[in-house]
Amino acid sequence: MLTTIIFKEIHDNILNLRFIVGFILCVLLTLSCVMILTHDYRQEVKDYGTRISQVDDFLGKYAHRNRLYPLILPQKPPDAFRPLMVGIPRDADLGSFDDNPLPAIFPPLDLMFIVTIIMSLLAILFSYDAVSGERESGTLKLISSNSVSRASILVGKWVGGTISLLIPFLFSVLAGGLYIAIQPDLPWDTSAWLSFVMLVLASVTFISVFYLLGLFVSAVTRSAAVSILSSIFLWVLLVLVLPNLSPFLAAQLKRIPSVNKVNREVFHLTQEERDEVGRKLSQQVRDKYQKQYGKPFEDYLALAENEIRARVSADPQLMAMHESFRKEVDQAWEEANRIQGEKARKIQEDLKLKAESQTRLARQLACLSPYADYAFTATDISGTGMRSLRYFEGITEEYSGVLWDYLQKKEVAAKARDPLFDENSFIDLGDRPRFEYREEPLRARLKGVLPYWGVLLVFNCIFFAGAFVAFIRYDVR
Amino acid sequence: MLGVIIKKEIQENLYSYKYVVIMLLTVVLVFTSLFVMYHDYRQRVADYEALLPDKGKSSALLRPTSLAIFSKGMDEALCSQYRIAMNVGISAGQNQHAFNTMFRVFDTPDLFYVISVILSLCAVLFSFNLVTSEKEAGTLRQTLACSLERTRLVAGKWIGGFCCLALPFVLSFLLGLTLVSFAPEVQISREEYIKLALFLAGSLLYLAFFFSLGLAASSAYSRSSSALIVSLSLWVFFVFVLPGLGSIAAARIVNIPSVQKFTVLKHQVRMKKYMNFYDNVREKGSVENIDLRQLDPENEAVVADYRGKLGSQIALTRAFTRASPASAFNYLAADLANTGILERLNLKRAYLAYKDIYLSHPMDVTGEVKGDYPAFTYQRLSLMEVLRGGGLVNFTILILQNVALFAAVYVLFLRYDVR
Repeated sequence: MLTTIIFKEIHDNILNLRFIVGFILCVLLTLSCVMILTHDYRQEVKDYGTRISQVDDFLGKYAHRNRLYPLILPQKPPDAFRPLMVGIPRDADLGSFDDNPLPAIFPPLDLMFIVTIIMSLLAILFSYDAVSGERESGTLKLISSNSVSRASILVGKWVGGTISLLIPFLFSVLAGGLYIAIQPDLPWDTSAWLSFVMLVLASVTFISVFYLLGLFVSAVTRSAAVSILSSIFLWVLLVLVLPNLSPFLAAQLKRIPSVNKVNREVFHLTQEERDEVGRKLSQQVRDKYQKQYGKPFEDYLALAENEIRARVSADPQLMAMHESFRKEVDQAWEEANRIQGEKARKIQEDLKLKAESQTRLARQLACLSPYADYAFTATDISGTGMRSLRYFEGITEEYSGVLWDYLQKKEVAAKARDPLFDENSFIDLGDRPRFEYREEPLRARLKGVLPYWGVLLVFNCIFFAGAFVAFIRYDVR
Repeated sequence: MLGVIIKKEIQENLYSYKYVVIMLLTVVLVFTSLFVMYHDYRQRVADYEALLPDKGKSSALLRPTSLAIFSKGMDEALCSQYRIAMNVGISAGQNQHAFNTMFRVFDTPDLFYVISVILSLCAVLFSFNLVTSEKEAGTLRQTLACSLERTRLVAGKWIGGFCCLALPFVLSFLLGLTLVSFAPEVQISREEYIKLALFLAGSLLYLAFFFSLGLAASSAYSRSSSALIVSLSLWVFFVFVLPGLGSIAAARIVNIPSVQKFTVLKHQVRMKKYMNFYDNVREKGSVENIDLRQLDPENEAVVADYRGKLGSQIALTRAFTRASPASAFNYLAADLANTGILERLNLKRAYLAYKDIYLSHPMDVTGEVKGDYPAFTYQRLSLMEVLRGGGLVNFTILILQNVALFAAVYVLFLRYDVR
């Protein structure tokens, strides 16, 4: 009997206008999005290649120790999933004087948009009248008068409805996948295809939440008109309101100090106050030497740099004093840097911890919305989200360490060759370690998204349980 | 007779479940949005005031506008601290939201967003069954059996229905505005009140478009379920798809390098200039007779070329996307609130002009400008400038779109089979 109900549901849906409209919309949008984004991806790959070769050319001619950063730092290559998912836009938040404001104004048309807006709305349109609509037309009474359990009717409706809803989605996503597969310059490996499968599964979990939401509302209302309004009201809250409010609410509940104030304080500590402390500590060194050497030290201080060089080379005693004095003054400045750096680090650390705590709260609040859970899951699985950016920052830090060691060695070797070598001299960086970006393994990404995916499954269970209880108690007359 | 129909429509709507849901949603969202954005504005003002002692010293800073509470647009970027240095050019400071990455993931829930996305959906939901439900109930046939013109009937339905939709919105907007204007940090001038009145008028035009869209779908189909599906699809198309397609088309026509590529290019220009300068200094032995202004990277051809192309792409995108009422309303709302693209372009011009003034003053050997020089001052665009800079065009487009759609509703209703 269950199979009959499922087939009846699929049959009814397929012949309905909503299926035809949904199918056309889904296929057209998915294919055009994939084509447009593939074109953008190619542009970005080209752009990335040009940037890398420009940096190489430039460093070949102009590399000097004082001005290497930020050119020498690694750049993130375009994400492999860019033809499907734009993810977290980077251009919009660069905050530079010349950034392009357009990506911030126009939300991208990608798989995320298709699933979260089109498919979730379509899911509600497929289910809002599943119970109340049949009650109004009188067919629910007829079905219930047969020897079929209400549980079977509900499960049949859910399975049949979800299958018919997934037909346009899976067809269009597979067509999009096929388009990507036949592109010779899109090198998707096994891991990328596995991520694709996981992404589709996560999308199905998300779409099912909204189908069940519509079914639940349909089972607690008496008319389809009330059911559609209530369902869309909940959709608006869960998709459009709650996630967008979450960072602002978190910012009010857990405040962080003003970033600009902190930056200014750090600047004050590490520049102005550092100079004061440094001067004070080096004065102590001077006083010590003054006490120890007396007049000869006073005379030494009065000398100009070139005179010191000349006198020091001729007088071994003066040389010993000069070297030990310079060393202690350097140590005094190092100590000043350490003391002030420590103070600045504490303030920055405090800001970082508070900002992390605020971000965590915003994330937790956002998780109350299936939209946010899906956004985190989908962007992290596809490597286009915040996790991917954090991962990139991590490997950039590692690479910077390697690069720093390399530069230190280069500098020592250059100084040994040329005593006049300074921070404005050219260094040949042709043999520097190159940055190679490797995506975080799929297993780690999946582990990271499990909590969000889990919340989506919990939403499914809650709405199914709600629909089940409501339908058991439903007055079919 | 028209009065009777309008009254009947209003009465019917007021007692309906639909009205209760949409009214609640409108009121709750308008107040929540104003509350949240007011607190955000307050925090930004505090941040601005903390930075004030830096103002004037080779940096430029703009106070957040109170109108950002209604439409935040790009105010966060506009109010960043911009520093001017001889060899770096103009660089932006960090903003508060950069530290909470969640701000990058979701949209800003300001009043503009509420109207543009949520209330437009409410408008469609309000009108999608105005005709079909009457046909399904059989009352439409009865009504038209009397000596009643279809024109009057459709006009009455439109006016009565739209009044019910607009009333809670206008009242909550006005009440919210009153509450916000009492806040001590909020400074709204007379001209800004006029801008807000135009913002409200633009919002009503925008909502009227989507109300007519639902009514058009209702007049084109005989069943409410079909009208609902078609009107929701059209809502998605006009709000999300059409603006996106317009921006994609503009980007195809005027191709510009990515910001990352441009940043690398600009940095290279700086470095080359610096290296040449350094060689020059080594040759001459001092910086005394070298013009340090040559280090300014902002006047380079590569920078001017990028800015020119970006300007063309923005202009073309504005022209293309205006076909969608969502974009026309977006530009209108953000420009009226002085937080839109128009303001941004104007501010950038002002920063570049100020940089030239700043660098024209005498500087020491380290490139630090010495002596008295004027602090950066900037007046946000006036109402007339906004209207001349595209505001009037956006208004006209919204009016024309409304007229065209209402004409479509009229024609569809005249041809409607009421049986």
